[in-house]
Amino acid sequence: MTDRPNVVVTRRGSGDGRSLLLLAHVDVVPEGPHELWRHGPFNPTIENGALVGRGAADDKSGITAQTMALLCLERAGLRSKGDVILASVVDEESAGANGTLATLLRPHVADASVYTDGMGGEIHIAQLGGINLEIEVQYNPNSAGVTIDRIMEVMPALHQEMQVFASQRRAEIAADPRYAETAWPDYAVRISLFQAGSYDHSNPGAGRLHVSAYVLPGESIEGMQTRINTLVTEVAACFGDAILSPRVTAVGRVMPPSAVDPAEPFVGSVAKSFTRATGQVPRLTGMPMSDLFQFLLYSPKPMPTVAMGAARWGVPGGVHEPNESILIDDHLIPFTKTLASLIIDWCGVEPA
Amino acid sequence: MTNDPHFLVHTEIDRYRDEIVTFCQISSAFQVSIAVPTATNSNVNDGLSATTGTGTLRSMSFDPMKYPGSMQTPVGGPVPT
Repeated sequence: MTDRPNVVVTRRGSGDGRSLLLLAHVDVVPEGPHELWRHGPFNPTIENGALVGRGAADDKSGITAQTMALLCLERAGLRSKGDVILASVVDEESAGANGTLATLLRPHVADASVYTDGMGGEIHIAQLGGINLEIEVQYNPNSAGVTIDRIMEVMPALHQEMQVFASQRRAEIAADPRYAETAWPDYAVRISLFQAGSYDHSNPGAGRLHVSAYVLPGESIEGMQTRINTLVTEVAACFGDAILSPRVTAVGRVMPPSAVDPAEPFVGSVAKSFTRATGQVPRLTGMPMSDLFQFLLYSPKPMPTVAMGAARWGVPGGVHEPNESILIDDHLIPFTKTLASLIIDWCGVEPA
Repeated sequence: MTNDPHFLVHTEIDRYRDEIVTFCQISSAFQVSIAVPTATNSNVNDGLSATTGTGTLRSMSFDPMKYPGSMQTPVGGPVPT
């Protein structure tokens, strides 16, 4: 871990300007089977107007855009009035405390910030929280006349009710205008593990289900846990004393939701910069689980923050996929221009 | 010719397009793996204490102490910032 530092550079402004923090992450998700990559995951290759490689989009494009935006500003003979802070951090993919959070608490903070890890064409003003719950059911050995194979009835019942709940949650998340036109409602509730039994010719005495659930800004992690607890309890009640009380436990990654007020002047500045750079009106959307909450909930200085980037999701070559890629002229260059214009508008500039 | 700073910097970005792509290409050749959580990882407050010496969160609207598995500190402790 000693070889995985966070790196922060501050370009001091000439004075009398607002400061801006631009933060990207350098850690990447595992590359998966190498045979699925056309050129190998760490042999970044330009192909049909895209740069292909693990991390090319998520989030080396963020590192690139924020660095080159500032560099090109100065090459153009301009100097920012406010400080511009560039941060490269680790541990985003595991929501670690040692990346974004450690950097903010150092403290490296500003009057506003952009978390440069997002989808092309969008400005993210909200971030879904999430919780992963393990549900364990076990047959009741003291229940008269009950056989151990009841677990094989309980588990499908749980699965079925969880699907009903997932449908309800998809509708709830899609009803939020920040998520209405995004893919994220589809991932509202996911069953990531379904398991019962351990040996042939034996009935399972216990079963296990893992459920991952998104939480909207305005909702709470605890509230989601209560809803799922209630659902599990109601299913269990249908089986009387055939099973013991199910155990529901939070496991793994848990993340609170967060959001910035869209009326915040900084959001307007970012949108204006986007339009200057692209000639288009950005979509103000929510994003899935990410480090945005670290800025909005834990920064020692309250700091309006949006997430913005050049990546794609849910398409061949999207982030976390084999052959992850960044579209150079459609996304990377316009994103670099957007950040440069934001420095101009937010921090102010003068001739160097 | 114009003195519009946006025009000036956008022009400069277009001029250095290939350098921008090369920057991203070189960056993408380096793998920085994710932290691998373990059952013995400390939670976020331990991470804060180790990295800042204070361990104080501005907002406790979400209490990570309730969820020991969240926001782990990687094995080997916090990294320098």
